[in-house]
Amino acid sequence: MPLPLFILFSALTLGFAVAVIANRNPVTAALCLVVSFVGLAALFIGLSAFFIGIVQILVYAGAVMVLFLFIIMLMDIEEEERKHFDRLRTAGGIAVGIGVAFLIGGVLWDFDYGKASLDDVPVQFEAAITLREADADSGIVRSANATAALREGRLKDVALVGEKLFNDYNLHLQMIAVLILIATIGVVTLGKKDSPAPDSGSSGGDKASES
Amino acid sequence: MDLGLIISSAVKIIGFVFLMLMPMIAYIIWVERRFLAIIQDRIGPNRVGIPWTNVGLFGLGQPIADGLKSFLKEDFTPGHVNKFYYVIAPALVMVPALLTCAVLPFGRDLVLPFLDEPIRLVIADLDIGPIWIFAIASLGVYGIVLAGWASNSKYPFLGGVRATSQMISYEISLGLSIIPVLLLFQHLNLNDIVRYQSEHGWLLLPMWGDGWSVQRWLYLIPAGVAFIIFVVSMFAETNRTPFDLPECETELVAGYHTEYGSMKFAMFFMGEYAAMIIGSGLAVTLFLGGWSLPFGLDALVLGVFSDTWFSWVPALLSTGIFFLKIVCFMLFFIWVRGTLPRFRYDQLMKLGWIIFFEAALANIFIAAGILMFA
Amino acid sequence: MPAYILELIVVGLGLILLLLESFLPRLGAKGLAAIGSVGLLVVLFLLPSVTGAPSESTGIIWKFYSADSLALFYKGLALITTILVLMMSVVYVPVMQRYLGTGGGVGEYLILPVFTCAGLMWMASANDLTSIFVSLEVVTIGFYIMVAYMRRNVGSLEAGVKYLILGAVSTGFLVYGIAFLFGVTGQTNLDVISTVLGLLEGQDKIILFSFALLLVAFGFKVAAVPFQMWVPDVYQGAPTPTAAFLSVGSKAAGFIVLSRIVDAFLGDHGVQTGDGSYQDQIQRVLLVVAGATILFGSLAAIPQTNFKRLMAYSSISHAGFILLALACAYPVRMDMASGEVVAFYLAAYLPMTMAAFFVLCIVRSSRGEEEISVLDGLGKRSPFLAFVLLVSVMGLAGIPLTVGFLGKLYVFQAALDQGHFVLLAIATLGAAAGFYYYFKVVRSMYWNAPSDQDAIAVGTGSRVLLALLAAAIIFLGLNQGIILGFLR
Repeated sequence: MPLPLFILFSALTLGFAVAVIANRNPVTAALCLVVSFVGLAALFIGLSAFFIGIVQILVYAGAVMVLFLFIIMLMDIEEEERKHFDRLRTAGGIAVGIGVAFLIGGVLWDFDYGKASLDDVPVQFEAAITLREADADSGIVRSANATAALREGRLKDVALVGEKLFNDYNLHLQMIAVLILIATIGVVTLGKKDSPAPDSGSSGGDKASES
Repeated sequence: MDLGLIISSAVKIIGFVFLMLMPMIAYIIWVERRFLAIIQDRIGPNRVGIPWTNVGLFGLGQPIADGLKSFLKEDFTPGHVNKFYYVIAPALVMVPALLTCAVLPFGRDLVLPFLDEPIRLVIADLDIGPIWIFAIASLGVYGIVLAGWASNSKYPFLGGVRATSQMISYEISLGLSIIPVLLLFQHLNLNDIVRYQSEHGWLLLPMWGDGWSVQRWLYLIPAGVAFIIFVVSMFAETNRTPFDLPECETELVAGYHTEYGSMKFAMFFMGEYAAMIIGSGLAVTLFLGGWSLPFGLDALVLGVFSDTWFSWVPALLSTGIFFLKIVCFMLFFIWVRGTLPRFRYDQLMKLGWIIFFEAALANIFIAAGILMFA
Repeated sequence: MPAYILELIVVGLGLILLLLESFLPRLGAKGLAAIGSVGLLVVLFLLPSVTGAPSESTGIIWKFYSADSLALFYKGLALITTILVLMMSVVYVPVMQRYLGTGGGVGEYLILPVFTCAGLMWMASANDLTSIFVSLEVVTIGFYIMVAYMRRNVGSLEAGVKYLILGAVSTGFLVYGIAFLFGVTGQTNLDVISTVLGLLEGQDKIILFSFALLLVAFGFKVAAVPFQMWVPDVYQGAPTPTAAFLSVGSKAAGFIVLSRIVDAFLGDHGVQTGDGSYQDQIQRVLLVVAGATILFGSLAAIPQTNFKRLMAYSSISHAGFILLALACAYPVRMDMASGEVVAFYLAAYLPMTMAAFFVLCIVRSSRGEEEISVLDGLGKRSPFLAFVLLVSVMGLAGIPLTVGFLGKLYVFQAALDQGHFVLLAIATLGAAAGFYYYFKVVRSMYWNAPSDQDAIAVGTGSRVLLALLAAAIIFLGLNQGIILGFLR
């Protein structure tokens, strides 16, 4: 992806991420997070990961954050008051932050592979096709559609992601199915209304939409 | 990134969005009013024609007059609103609605005699067409929510809350409903999908090419269910009658845009119609063959205009067909509005979560079963 | 039968229980727990018959899933723990119903452990960073819900929120660590990572950094200092069976994954050389954390008056001992690898902790408190319960002839073997402090006058289970070969 675009979208992502923390109005903070997600999605798309990028928007910006906003508005969360921290804590927090920044900076400075620029690593169609053919020989299912597209020099990333997910990472997929089931059970049990008494909390994700 | 791509993209954006979509939005409103009038045995707007003459032109000047009116009206901002979000909300409805049209193919590849490569008549030829539309359209919720919240008064707030939950609920069935379609086509590129339908029969009209197969005819069952779910969910997504609860006038004055006037209100209005047009466009593309002619007539057209100097004709013809289909679909929208009463809110939620969600899920399995065994 | 079928059976069991709970409400808590335990018992008996990766055609699943003897051992631990937790929950149901409001039922509380058990079993087998992450999340999310389950109880809710927020932070660290490690090696499989790390040169800093991030994440899970702050509050607030599950199941799963990761980082580095390589530094970090954990857990447990808080701090100090075993990689003069010492310690820790929490559950359901003073005169009121608790705290303190003694003995041996004398001193201090604070429980039971004379009713099933647990503590202590036999 062109460097100016990368800088633009990184700045968008990071700047609005900072704004999320800095803003005291919860609605503004939530919307800043949305913009940050959109910037992140743009970064993904710039790296030819269209599917991941667009799903980032669909799931996070389009669904999760809408629910956040929904809850913020329904519960009428007020603007956060300015808190006064004592000097020691503030100084400590700043020191930790700077320390971690230096640590990560130092670590990355020493990291060789991190110095390659994106232009040095083009999409390796040849290698990918060879790999897929080897997989197909050893009995792992590979979508012919996606292979054909690779031969044409097109990256069918949805097909590739789906193939990875449902073949290679099938175990993970099933674990996540259990995870989501557990989470659903939890939301329903913890958010269930008392039958006669009025409800005192609204922790039940989509149940809240029946208001 | 070469210059040709930039120029052709710019031309496509201007041509499709500003020369076709925007006028269509304006005139679809006029069509709606006239058509509703016919349904209700009235006359409708029929007077605005050429200024200072008596020529009425069936009221074709009405949209222009409406546009002028909303631009020239006082841009009043109530004192009790949250100014920033109040101003930004209409734009947040309008912009995503227009962005979604980037992946809609509005015609066959345009072959120009003086160009080596055909121009694809789609602004961005992405391999993630429908997902792009859903993702960007889902951002449109923010405009409505913020309008409701920033207005700082009760009715808009209720409208905003209703709109959010309604749109989020129906996004699920909308997304699930098209999976059978994608299962059959094995493409996510809308242009590829239309080309496939042009050669092998529309999804809902498999009567030429490979369409005459048991599998495709059996597939009409899941495809039909998917079509019904898709269209009904689209009504809910675009807040159209019978699901226009976010702005239903009997309960909420005007819902989320109660506090808006002049051009800001017009932006909401246009955003809604743009979303409708794009939604119809997607439905037409996925189920009814997009820009293609039925019964394999495409091949015939291509054959007739195979001459180098007329090679651009099929493309323009297909664009015309595409818009014709959209207009028919929009007439259906209006027809429904004219004939169906509004749902109650709990009925709406029940329909979405209990009927459509499950039906769409089951539909996926039926479709996969047919693809596997038939 | 391939090993991954086991988890499928457990998940299937959970689904059946869910359906039974909603369509056959007559079953009640007891019925659900009975069906769940029987099902898990069946899986437990299937455990020895499963096979690992076939040698010739290796399916794709074996890249993410290992079924070595250690994994099977931990799967067994997870199953036994879950069965005991289900039993304990039945005893605890009356307490719980008080805090559920009118809308809530206890059915889900008996079903969630089954799903969580599947997660624990997946964790035991996870040998790829991706499967580690996913299975860890399955377990953690189950625990978030179980901890906050008594939703009308402020303590339980507070514990839930604390666990949720700190758990999310630790997950963040885990993901960062995985990202860095993947960035360095380009791999997610731990075996491959181990090989690749051995080939890298001059990348010590980033390797250490990714290890540090992973250590933070798993430090949260196994309650190592300085990431232990959630433990006392969460144990105190959570329903008692959940606290027991957390302290055994979650900890065991955390340790198997941590030991796999440590193994991958250390590679075949062999005996500690003190050459300043990153392997050397990793061991040093582990030693420091282990020492701090033992010290903090043991000393902070001394002033506690709440039994669950006491157990929480004691679990921190036990985590320290296990970390010490982990840090003593490759003991030369012993015939046990450090992973086996860890597994042995955890296996020993299981019956002792479970017995203690079980007794507490029974006491709690008859008396509404969980202070140590509630045990006053238990020796006279209910000699059986008092005896079981006595055996269990003796084991936890590490008195000879119990299995807890053997666990500590192996840890001390490993430390001695590697020449970590400072750590040995700290561990001795911790063990000595343990004698003191566990003795408080014994004193309360046998020396203090009871506040009321009524005996506490104990059901037959609970009685049998408690007797079994007490017997296990002593019998396994006399015969160390049994656990070791299962291990190999």
